[in-house]
Amino acid sequence: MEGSKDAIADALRRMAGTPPAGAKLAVERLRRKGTPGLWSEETSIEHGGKQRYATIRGFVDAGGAPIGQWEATADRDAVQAVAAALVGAKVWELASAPVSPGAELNRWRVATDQGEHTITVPGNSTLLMKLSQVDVQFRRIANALIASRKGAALKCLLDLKAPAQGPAMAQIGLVNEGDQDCLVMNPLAGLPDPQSFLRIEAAAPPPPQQPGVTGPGLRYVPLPLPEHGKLPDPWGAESFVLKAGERVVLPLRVTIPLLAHKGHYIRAVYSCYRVPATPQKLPVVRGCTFSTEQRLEP
Amino acid sequence: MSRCSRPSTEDAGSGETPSRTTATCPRRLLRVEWSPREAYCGDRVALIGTAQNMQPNTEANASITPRGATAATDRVRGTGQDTFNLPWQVHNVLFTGTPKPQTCELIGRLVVEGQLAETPDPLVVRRVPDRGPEAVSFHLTSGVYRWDCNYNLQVQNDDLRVTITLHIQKAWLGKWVSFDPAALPGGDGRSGWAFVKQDGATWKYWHTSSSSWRALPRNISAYTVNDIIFVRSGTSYVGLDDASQTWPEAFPEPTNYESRKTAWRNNIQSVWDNQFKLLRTDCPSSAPRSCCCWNIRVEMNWSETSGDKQMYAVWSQQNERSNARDWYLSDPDDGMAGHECGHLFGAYDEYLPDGALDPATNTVENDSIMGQNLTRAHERHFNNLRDQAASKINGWISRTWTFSVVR
Repeated sequence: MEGSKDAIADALRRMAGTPPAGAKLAVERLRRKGTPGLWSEETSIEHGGKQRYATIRGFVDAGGAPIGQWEATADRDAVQAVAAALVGAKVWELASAPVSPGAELNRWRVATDQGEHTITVPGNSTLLMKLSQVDVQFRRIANALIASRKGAALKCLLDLKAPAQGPAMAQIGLVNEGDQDCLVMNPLAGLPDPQSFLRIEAAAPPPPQQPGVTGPGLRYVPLPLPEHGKLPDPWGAESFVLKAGERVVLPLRVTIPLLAHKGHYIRAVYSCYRVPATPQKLPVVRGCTFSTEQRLEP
Repeated sequence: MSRCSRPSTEDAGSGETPSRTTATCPRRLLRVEWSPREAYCGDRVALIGTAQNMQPNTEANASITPRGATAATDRVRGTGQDTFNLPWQVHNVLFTGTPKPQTCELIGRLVVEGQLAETPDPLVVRRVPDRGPEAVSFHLTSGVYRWDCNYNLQVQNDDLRVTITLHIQKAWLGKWVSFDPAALPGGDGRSGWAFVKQDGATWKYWHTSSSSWRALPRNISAYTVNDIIFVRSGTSYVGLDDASQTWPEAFPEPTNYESRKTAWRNNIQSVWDNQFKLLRTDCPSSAPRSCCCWNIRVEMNWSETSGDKQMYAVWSQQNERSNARDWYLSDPDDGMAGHECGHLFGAYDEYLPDGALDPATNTVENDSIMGQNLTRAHERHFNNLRDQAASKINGWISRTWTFSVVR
């Protein structure tokens, strides 16, 4: 239902003040990008309902963020803060713009009891700056949900051992940091595809950045997994259940070449975008997540 | 009824064949001509014979032979008395030679009651003419997605030539975040926004007051990180889409600019060039693909001054994924170039979620240059190009031919 701008503005202003009992406000924020669409995150909040966050890959491939789905009772203050940010941006006056394929897609959907308003713009739109305070509120919701662990949260772990003599060895682990069991898609099973892997990556330390020039960032290259036969469970199945808080370790040790023992950064990566062939009762976690990087001291 | 003696075959080609005999039978004249005298493959023409003093329902036989050839392309027959109308649909006309001739001349020979007449003027069968490149421009939509398709089409001999010039410019990717005014550790204790960059493994923001980079208060994953593309303007780097933004320092000159351009072009050529044919589906010729069939040749060129489509070769600190306009020099997948070029020819995405799918079919296929795995082209990817070519060709020759794309 498209509502009049004035009616939506009034509804949002009321919600930003003292939300009337029974008033309706639901706001969704979606970001996707990539050819194909590998990055995605979706956050929503509904007055008197739930707040949710789901991501298949964070928009910066760094920082060790988990992927998954989270949900909790909507925080009343957060609803008000989102409404206030929408009012501050005068969201009802903002219009959509065409998005070219593969370009970052940004969507804000606002539903009030006075009508709905949806804005869809590409990642290069100046509207992103206008709506940045709305996004601050949504990021706060996402961060709070991740911290609350209310959901299914897959995180990639790196176990790096660097003995005094000989090459360092790395192992990859996965952990469900949520409070719900989940189904994890296994990148090591099924037909190979370019987006399905579980691997260790290394990046040479970039040269110190010269004053006044933005230098290159870390450029990771994959290190090969050792040759192996049939892997023990759960690594043989196309998907496996990871219970809340459970941790699994891939029983393969990756040798870090001695050449990388010069201050290289090491990280582990889980990537699998497949979907189960049949509907699942458990939440399905898929996408790409990176461990926090560790540095091999020279 | 007396019969007249047969004429010598040496008389063939005179257009008018009087009887040489002085027998008692009346003089019978036979003439034949094409109507119309020009045609394209598939057109319906006729050999029109005129005669005198023929009996009703006299049988007429005709042969149709390319000029200079001995074997007939086809034969037709009919009956008549003073006039003979032998319809024929043009087909199986091969344009052979180098360069390929624009026309092929067909001679009709009509035989009635032992008399033979030959068309004084041949039927000139034309092929689709060689043309210089003509611009094609249209736009496509799919859900929230919209994009422009621009290229040039021409027919040259057996080829449908598709040329596209990409206007390429260097650009650089910067990033920015908004601060959360809440106090640490949940927020940043400050408001506003700032450019951010990676320095080693550390993410830093540009502190405007001190004109220096400082470490972000929180882990980078705690922020909503946005992209902003910059282009060089003198010694500065200004926002491509928001010229009010200036990156606070210089960017490096990309070292792999030429090598990536080469890799991208190679991918585009290998995916699209000479993989398919444009085939006329209503061509009546018996040998498939012997006529009315063109190799689809694709040639993509770079230009740094102008082109059919503006795109940017973007330097970035991290590995990034490209889109229709911004091609990242860090994108490791060469198939991206073939994919994005496919959009410019009119192909839709074939991946989920949120691909710009063909609204008519919602086709999704992983083993596809337009799909998840960025692999190979399929005939359907040229459906829009086929329609554009059909429009051009039919416009050039005033016909309503139908076409398909075949491998």
